Amino acid sequence: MNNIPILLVIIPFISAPIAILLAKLRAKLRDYFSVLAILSTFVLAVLLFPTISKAPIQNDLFTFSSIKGLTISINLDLLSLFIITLISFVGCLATLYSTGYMKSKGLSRYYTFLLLFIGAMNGTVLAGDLFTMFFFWELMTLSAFFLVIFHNDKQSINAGIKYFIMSEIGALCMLLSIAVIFFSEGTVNIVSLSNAKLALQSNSTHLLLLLFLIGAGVKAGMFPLHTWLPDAHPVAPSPVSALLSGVMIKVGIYLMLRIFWQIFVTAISWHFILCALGSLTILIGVMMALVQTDAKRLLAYHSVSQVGYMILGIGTGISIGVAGGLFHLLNHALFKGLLFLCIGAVIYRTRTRDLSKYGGLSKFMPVTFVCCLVASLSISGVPPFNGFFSKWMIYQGIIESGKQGHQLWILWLVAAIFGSSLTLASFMKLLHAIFLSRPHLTIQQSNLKEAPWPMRLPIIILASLCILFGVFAYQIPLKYLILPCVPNVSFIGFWSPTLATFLIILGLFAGGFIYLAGKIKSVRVSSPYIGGEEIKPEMNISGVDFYRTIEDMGLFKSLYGRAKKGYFDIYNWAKGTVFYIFRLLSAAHSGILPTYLIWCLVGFLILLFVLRG
Amino acid sequence: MQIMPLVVAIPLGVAFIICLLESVIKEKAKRLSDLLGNLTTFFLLVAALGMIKVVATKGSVTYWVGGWEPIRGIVIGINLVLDGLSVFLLVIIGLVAFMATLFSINYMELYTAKPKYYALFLLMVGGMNGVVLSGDMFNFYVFLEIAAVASYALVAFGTEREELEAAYKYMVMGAVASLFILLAIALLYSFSGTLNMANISEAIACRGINPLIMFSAGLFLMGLGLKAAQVPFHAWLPDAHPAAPAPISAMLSGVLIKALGIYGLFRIFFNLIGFNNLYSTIFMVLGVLSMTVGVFLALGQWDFKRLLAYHSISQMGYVMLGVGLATPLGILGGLFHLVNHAVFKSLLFLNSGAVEYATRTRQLKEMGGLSKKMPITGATCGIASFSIAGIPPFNGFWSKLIIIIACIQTGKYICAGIAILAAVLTLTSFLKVQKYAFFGKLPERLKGIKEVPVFMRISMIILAVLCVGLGLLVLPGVRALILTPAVEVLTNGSRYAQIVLGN
Repeated sequence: MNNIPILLVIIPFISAPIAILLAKLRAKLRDYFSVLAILSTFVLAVLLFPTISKAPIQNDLFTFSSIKGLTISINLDLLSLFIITLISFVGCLATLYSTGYMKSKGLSRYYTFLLLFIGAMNGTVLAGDLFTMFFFWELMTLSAFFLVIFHNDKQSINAGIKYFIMSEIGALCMLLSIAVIFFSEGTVNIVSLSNAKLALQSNSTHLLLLLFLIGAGVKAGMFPLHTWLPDAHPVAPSPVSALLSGVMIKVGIYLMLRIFWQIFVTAISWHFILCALGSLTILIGVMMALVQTDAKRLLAYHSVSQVGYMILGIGTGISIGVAGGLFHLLNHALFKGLLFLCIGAVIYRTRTRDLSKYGGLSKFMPVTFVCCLVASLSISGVPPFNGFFSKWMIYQGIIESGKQGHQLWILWLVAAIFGSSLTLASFMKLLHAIFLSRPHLTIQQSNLKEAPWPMRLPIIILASLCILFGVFAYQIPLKYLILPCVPNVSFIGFWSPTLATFLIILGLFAGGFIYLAGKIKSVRVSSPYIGGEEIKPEMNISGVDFYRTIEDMGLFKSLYGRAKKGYFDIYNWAKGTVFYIFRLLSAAHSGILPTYLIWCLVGFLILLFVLRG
Repeated sequence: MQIMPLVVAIPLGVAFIICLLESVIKEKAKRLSDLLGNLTTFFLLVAALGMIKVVATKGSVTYWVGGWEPIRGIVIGINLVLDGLSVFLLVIIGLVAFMATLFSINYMELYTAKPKYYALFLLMVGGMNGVVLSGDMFNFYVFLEIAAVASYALVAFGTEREELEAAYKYMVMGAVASLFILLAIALLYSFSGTLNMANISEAIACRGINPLIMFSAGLFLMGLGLKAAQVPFHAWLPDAHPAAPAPISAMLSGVLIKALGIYGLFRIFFNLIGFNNLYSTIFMVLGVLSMTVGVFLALGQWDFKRLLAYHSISQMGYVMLGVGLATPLGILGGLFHLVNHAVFKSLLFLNSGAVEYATRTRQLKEMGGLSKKMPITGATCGIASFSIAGIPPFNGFWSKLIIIIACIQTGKYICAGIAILAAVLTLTSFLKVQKYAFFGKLPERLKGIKEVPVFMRISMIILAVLCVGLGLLVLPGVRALILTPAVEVLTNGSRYAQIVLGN
């Protein structure tokens, strides 16, 4: 019984080679088998809830007798089960979506890595000790790398490499920290560490925490380590983007939760740092998102920004803030997954990611439009959708932390609220440019229709969940998923989403009634015109152009200009430094034999000097 | 029947026979030399694997050549010593040599004079086997020279301008190193009055630290450090390794620098001179320097094999760092990395050979999209790249992990940090290899290329499987078989003498 959770990792891993074999029989068989495999992990995860809510499963699978304290263990408590359920759920929908979406050659490779990716994410979360977690963490990076470069063009390869290298730096920083903990504490078991609660006694423990923050921060897309994210997420196939943005970056947040909230007793200065980084992440993500013209890149920057909310929530260190962060994690997985799948459906029909080349798609893809609208409103935090509720909890956390004497809390609150409104602004642009306005010239309207069912179904499911989790926030997600993980949550103020929804619907009905009953039916409708001329298709102005203004505003102009050239990208800084050192060393290697012999001689003399006794 | 002398004698003998055959039956010798070469290396591999069992049951085995056993504890003859460390290296040499000869069957069609190639190859292998087995300093030196001289000739095998220049540089620097080693051996002889390693070890242990020993330690560090391509004595390697035919590059990077340089350093410093903190620091400094300098230089290379050559320097740095820590965990990590490096680096060189065979170029910029046309080369190269970069679940991950953890265990945080930096840069440069050679679009010029012939494929596949499977070596049961005995030899230190002389 105690070892059943391993199946959550083993099922996807075993299915990966089986999927390859099945492809030899029939390609479709492989696709549906993959869906089934992930579905079964999801079902298993759900079935485990009753058991886990009684008692978490924490046991060692394997003990290395020669090294004390080294084990391979699993830790399935409500928090990890919650994340695993989320991963398998979004994973399942994304796989189902892939069966419709993916049409190119070499799909066996795709499904293999997809299964490995989901299995590795499950493993990372399921791992009960930090070394095992690190192993799966690396595996997750590797399989995600292959998914990102799947299209095999220059852009995606470069983005994939950037992602891989940055993740690797983060992971190895984390490894340093894990190894130090292993030797100082004698164990890396998450449960025993959480019970022991590592205190921050000296500067070196602060360094440990910093290394963890780098590792988790790279994965989560935290500023200033986020720069791989807007490159990698857009170039991946859309279902993969949904997985990357929807769940993979959440694994980073999950680790942050474990580290900052459970393992270490964090000082107030760390809360400050987390809040500051969270706020910066929110603002920078959303400011960059505002000016994007690539639909998926825009979404990717919003992932950065939304991650900022989660970090802010954790950073408050107040139960309700952390619960809000966790709830936002769930919500973001739903609506960001949904958004990427919607945009994927649009790309599937139009074959472009450029926002200025769409327009008027709501006529042809009404379901996608409505779902995308739901997701946009959710991510912007409009009540009664789910995004509002979690953001509201985070705000409460910030205010509460202010009461407990945290500095500058008002700034974090402003950043969070400001970020939320800018999010709305940028999604107005997205919705307008894609679904509203008039069709762009290049769009062939004859091809436009709804995406096929395997793609439509996940979209509809996710959209309904966005509404459901917003309207019945207390009754479903909070009650079963969030609050059991986070003890001692007390709400301040009153917000009943069910009642609010009821009132909103009532309001809508009332408005409709007035509209129907009154005499305002006779509205004059005329076609838009410029200078007395009707707007021809070639004169079409897409939503994108309105937002150009932001780029040209005083201070922003130079900032955006530099950001586009990559001046603020720490990856580029590192690259520059490394190649500078290379050139120095390379210049020294002249290929002249006497020079090399002199090096040997000098080296020998230095050795003798050292050895002189 | 003692098998130990045979692993030295047979390759040397077969090398002679191949030369003889070539002068007698001329053209027909080509196929025959393929067969003889492969049979010999296969025998070496099997014999080495068989010896694992011998070592596991009996511990260390000493063979007195010609039956000249020591009389009343006084050594009068030459001895061969088979212990955990020797058998460890014998297995590596046998494995890589067999893979390289298998690869050569097809690959060496690019060159003429195949029998001469096999003769030199076996000479080199015989020399290396001799180095790791010999129990006295003079034979150590002789075998080292046999292997080194054969390798000079093999580097120059293409006899083009580039090869000759590289071989010349390699030869001059190698000869300087050999002289230093010889001088050091002479000093040890004058100090202890014997050439037998066990006796020298006893003498040093008995008479303690002495300026003469320190001086010869310096000489050894320089000479063997050069053979092991440690910075700042590394400069010959990036010229010599790429210039050689691919299977020879695989041998040079995969085993030669280890069997001559690294093995020599470990044996002499751990078992003869006796390791102390000062040497530990020197080893680690050399290791860290090589690790960083090597990887930084590799990053900007566009010649596939040259890039790999620089990585050999860097990866040997890991081995030096791990073993230099002198803790059981560190030594384990270092030796484990040594075998891993032998596997993935020789695979990478064979990959580069396969690519060169198909495309006739080594310039990464002229390649692209090769994994479409050469799926096996692409996949095996991917595995090897991720192995060397230390990505799980491949073998390089485990050894780097152990080395980094061992650094932290002894509080060498900076070394751990640098090891991590080097790991990231290694990953970077191999992602570059993958990007330019195997990912992306196939250039027009290469539309007609094909996957390489069967024997080349087989050897690459076997090595790739090992890259995945060798991670299992750390598992307790398997580790006790091969890694633990090798680690014990080094941790035993000066007790080597008692073990060899059997008292």
